[in-house]
Amino acid sequence: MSGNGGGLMLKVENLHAEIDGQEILKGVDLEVNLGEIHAIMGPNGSGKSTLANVMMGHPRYEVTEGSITFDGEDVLEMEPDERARAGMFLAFQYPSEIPGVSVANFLRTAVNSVREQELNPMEMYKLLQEKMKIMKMDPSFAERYLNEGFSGGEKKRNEILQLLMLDPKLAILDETDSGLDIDALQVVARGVNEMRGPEFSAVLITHYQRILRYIEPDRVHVMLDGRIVTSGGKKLAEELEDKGYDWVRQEFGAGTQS
Amino acid sequence: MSTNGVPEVLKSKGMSVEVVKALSAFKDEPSWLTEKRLQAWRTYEKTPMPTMRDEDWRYTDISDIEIEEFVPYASSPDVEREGDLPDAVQKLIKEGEENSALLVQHNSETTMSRVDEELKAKGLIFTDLHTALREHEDIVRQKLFGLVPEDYDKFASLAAALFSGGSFLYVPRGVEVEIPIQSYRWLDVIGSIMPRTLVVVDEGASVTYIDEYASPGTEDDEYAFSNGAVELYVGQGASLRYVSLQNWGRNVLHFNTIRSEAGKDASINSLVVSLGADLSRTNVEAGLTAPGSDSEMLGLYFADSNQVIDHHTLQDHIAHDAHSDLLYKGAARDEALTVFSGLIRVEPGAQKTDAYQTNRNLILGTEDAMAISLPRLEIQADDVKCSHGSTTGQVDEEELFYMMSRGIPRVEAEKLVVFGFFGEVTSRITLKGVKEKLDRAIEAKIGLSSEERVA
Repeated sequence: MSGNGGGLMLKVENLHAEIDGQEILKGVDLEVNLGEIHAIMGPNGSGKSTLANVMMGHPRYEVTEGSITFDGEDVLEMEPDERARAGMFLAFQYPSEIPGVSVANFLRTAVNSVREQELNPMEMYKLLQEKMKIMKMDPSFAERYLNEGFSGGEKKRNEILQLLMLDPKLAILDETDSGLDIDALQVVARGVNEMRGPEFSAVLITHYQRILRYIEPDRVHVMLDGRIVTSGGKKLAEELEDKGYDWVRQEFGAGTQS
Repeated sequence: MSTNGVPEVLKSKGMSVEVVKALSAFKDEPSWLTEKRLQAWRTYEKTPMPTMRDEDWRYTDISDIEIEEFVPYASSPDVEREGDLPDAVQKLIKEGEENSALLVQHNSETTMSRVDEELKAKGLIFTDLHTALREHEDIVRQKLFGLVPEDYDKFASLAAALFSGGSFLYVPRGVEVEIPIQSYRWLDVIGSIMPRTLVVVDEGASVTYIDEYASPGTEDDEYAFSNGAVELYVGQGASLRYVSLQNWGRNVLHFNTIRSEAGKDASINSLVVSLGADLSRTNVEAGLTAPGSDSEMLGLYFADSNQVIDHHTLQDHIAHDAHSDLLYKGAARDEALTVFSGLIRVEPGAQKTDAYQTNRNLILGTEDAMAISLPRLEIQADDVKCSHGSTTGQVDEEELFYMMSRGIPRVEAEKLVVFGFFGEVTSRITLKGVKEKLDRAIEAKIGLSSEERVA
């Protein structure tokens, strides 16, 4: 593994990004080590989803300052597909619907794109069956068109299925918990926990503390107005749950209102 | 057909009444046909060339085309076996559907035809139109020009006056042909080709018939001209699956009118594919002429570079209790223009009509490609179910980002979107060879964007 000094997987430094000329990220700093799971919490509009999208290279956002280094490589120089092949993954809050492209076909193309050696159809089939079982998905699911007509829960499950299939080094989960009932949430958490290990890192972006009961984070960060304003252990998440985001605003938001 | 003895006037640039007379004499035609051709020529001469002021030609500019500058006739050698056909044609055949009968028109002449013995024994006739005129004059005389008459439009007039080669298929009552029948039209001279297709499917019979157009020309070559007419008669309770696969070289100007007539409880499934040519104009008209008749109309087109691809469709509900369902999907990239104009017409008395029409277009890239979509309804009966819909959109950057975030390179992601888009049509095609051919053609179109050609 090149340039992975001291197990540092992801390093975001002074990241500024804007959309349509409006600055959303105003200097984000974040470090995630190999094997760690971090949670980023924050109120609506704090820039959490923007951070997730910018890390993966969403074309509508422009990075104006700062850097993202993943596994020793400068991510900002890479196209989204190159980032994926380097080992990054984003579970989308609102995944696109792709009519006419089946889940199986999509996954086959994606898995073979990130792997150095292509899987033969039998290996692919077995892998898919195995991962769908973990996600409690019916085999017929693979024949449906990608996200077309999926319920909110099915879309989220499908995102985690892709996570399992692609087996990345770093997963960014953008509000994967929102809109899920408790059963679906548990299935999603189970998928993520399946990945957990010394070679896997994750950044969980969430509005609520709820998912952190099922996926225990190593670090919790709080985001407000385009910056990470405070960080701590998992107790910070509980504190947030008790005190609410108004507390964060009072504590860290003064004088930063734009 | 002999390569010798083609009158000089047919081999020289220009079209005239002398050319019509010489062609008819050269083909040794009965006088009624000579008279038909001459009448068609008179109509052609009387009819002004359509302009963009005509409703049917509002978006397709043909003002530069000088029809009369083309050489009207080009001969080709007779061959006995498929192995003697031009290599490119052999390749088309090899990659095409398995066929139970085959006819190859090379330029203005039929170069070979073959029918499985088993089908011959059942009375099936498949031959070029001139042979059909000699051997089955009654039925040809009764049906030829019945659906695409000489006064349909200016191009139909010319097609009637100067058609040559062509194909005639007759499927006798109750005969079910399982393996498709295939006709190829191959053009390797700078000149014109005026093929006609006449298909008669008798009561209770069923067949699949494919017209495929191809040529080696490129956009750097001089223009060539293809002007066709297709007449499809489907009898009571009979079934016809008709495929038109237009994949001409880029120097061809293609005009074609496909019209069908359906008997009681008959069904016609048409698939019209337009990929090649510099300019391609196809009229597709399904006549729902008897109760219980059913027409599925599928269309697929993909225009790139400076191509213009224009389809005008008509679902003509004349009889009551008939059903039609149209789905045309097209893509455009670079500076290409596509036009879809579709009309559902429900005539007085055509109660209990069930008619649907959908046209969807995909614009690729951010260049100057354009798709025109004009769906129309004209309903003169009160107890009908009709709907139409039309959409035109671009490949969504959000969709591409989603797929790229899974490691799929942009070009592959675009391919998936386009294949997904056309999948709604291709998934309804039951012919494996046609489907594979289409997939390859679509793939080639996606892979050859103008930037990449330059790079």
